[in-house]
Amino acid sequence: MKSFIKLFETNFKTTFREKSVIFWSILFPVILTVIFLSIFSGQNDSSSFEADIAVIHAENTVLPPLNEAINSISAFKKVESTSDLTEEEAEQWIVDQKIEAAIILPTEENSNVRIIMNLEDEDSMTAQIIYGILNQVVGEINNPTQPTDTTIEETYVSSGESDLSYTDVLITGFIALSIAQGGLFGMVSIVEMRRTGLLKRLKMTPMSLTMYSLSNLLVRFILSTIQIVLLALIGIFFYGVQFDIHLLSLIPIFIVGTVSFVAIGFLVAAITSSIDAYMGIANILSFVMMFLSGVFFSYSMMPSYLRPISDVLPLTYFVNGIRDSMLYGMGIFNADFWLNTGVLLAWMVVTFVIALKFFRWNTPENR
Amino acid sequence: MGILEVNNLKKSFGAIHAVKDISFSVEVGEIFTIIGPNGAGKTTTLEMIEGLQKPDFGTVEIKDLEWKKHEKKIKQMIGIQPQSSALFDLLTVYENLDVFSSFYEKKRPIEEILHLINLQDHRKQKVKALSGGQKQRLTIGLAMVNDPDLIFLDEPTTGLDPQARMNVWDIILSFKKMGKTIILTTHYMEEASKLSDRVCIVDQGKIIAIDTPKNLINQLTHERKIQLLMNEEITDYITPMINHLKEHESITEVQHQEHLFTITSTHPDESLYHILHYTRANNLSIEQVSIDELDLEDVFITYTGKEWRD
Repeated sequence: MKSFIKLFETNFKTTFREKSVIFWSILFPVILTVIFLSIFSGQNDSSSFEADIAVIHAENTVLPPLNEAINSISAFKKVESTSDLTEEEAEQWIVDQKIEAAIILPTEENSNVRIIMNLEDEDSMTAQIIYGILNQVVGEINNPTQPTDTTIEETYVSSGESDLSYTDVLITGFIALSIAQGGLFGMVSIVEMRRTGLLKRLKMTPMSLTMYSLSNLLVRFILSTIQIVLLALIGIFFYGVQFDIHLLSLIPIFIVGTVSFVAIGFLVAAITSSIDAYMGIANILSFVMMFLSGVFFSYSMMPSYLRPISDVLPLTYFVNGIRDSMLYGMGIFNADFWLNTGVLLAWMVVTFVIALKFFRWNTPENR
Repeated sequence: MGILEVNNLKKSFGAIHAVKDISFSVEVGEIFTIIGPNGAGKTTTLEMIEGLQKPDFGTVEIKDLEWKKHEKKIKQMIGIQPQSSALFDLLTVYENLDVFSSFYEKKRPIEEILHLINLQDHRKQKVKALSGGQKQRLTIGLAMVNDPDLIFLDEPTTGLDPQARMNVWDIILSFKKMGKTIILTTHYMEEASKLSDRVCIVDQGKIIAIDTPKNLINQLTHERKIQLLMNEEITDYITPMINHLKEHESITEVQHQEHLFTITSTHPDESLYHILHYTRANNLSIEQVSIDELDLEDVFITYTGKEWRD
């Protein structure tokens, strides 16, 4: 037991004193997640949204409250000296991308508010947001019982609900992906220890290999826990992800998933003899799984000819298991849970057995 | 019965017979050195003794225990310093000693080891910040954490500067004083001569010589080369001098190059007397005289036919 504690300390220190481990296992997944979430679900984040606009007929409009309301929206950055801007000039500005939209206020009763935007932006988020905000503002104005206040912006934020599900899908995908990559890339330390002869040196001592492996696994669990907690917190606090976590199913899938990918990493370490070879194979596996295991989109969106591949990849089941237990609150009494854990268990056992068969304590050169 | 008994070890890798038939016995308290050219089977032999490789044939007994039946017991009793500085680079000196120490039942206090390998002041330093010599001393220290009776040191001074090498020699000699038995391999003849009680020369998978350094040298031919550098006045006397010298039974060959004579002799002392007698009688003066010393390197060259590389 004392040996286990010392080995755990050793593994812990060697892992956390390595700056690249901190970067790749903790910082990198966070950065990646934030980047992806910002790209694909920017609609939710209207506080950071800004559009340069011009308001035409601001002085002579029949609806001064509307003009005031537009002025009060911080997301709309009004370009200076636009008071005597004509429609034609505004159009030219849009073409030149000097501004993103021009809002033309009505000068007669019962005429419409018009908005001019760049055709190239038609499908973009910018267009949708500007339109959305404006629509909201007009709605508020038409309802005289409701004062037009700063509430407008808030109203819009909650109207982005339709995008939330994709944020959820992404963040749970990233949780699974980063845990998987942690195991897949983490076993490179074995290759390094074999290269320096440390592995062989340890074999000369009465050290128990089981103790060593278990202590190493414990450190991997700590890293995985940091990843899942950190990414979940980022999801909750910055992207408003609504988790529905079922711990009874999450814990088994988390454990089996972590160990499975450690086993796969171990297999890669067993069949390679250089760090370059290890990283090459780990990168290929990581890339294939990243795109074919439904990290970025759910399985149902996958083209049918790719499904047979994703059907065998372990990350597919890990991603599903994490989503089931973290988003959909599914417990252990359903077929999916057993399928996910079962497939991951199978991967774990098979890769581990093969890895043991190929495992070498030393490189052929320093025999 | 020695502390280590090696009997008829054989090991092949495919068609290559790395170790053909090696037997020896090491006594308690000895420093036993194995030398040999690269590819001689040194490392394979050592690894079979250390339990890292299984011999195809033959036995290894450490304190009467065999690897097959008593692996755990043997591992507890021996200490190994491998060639590569296999250390946890991100751990400190103390942490390395501490974790290795945790594997063993019997322990030597870490403070004592730090003192022994003279790394007290570096205990909190990470291994990657150590110099080559300090790393080497730490790997030797790791071989001592279980206070073993039998210690294997595989080329402990390779790549070290002379000062660092001397430090390691001191450590090895202090182990000997503690009554430890040491199996050493080295690339340095001087090291082998200075430290070893016995030297075992291995070539092509076989032991070709095994004895104390002194005996090995004495077993060599007694022929020595005497070099004489004569004064210029010798010019007229060259031929008569050569003829005269050749008359003596101990002198087998005389060569000269201007004023430098190289005389091969089976009994250098008698030859020298003969030479000096002649020069005195003819009033010739000698500027320099030297007799070559034989050392372990000559033993090695004689036995293996190979140059020693340093």
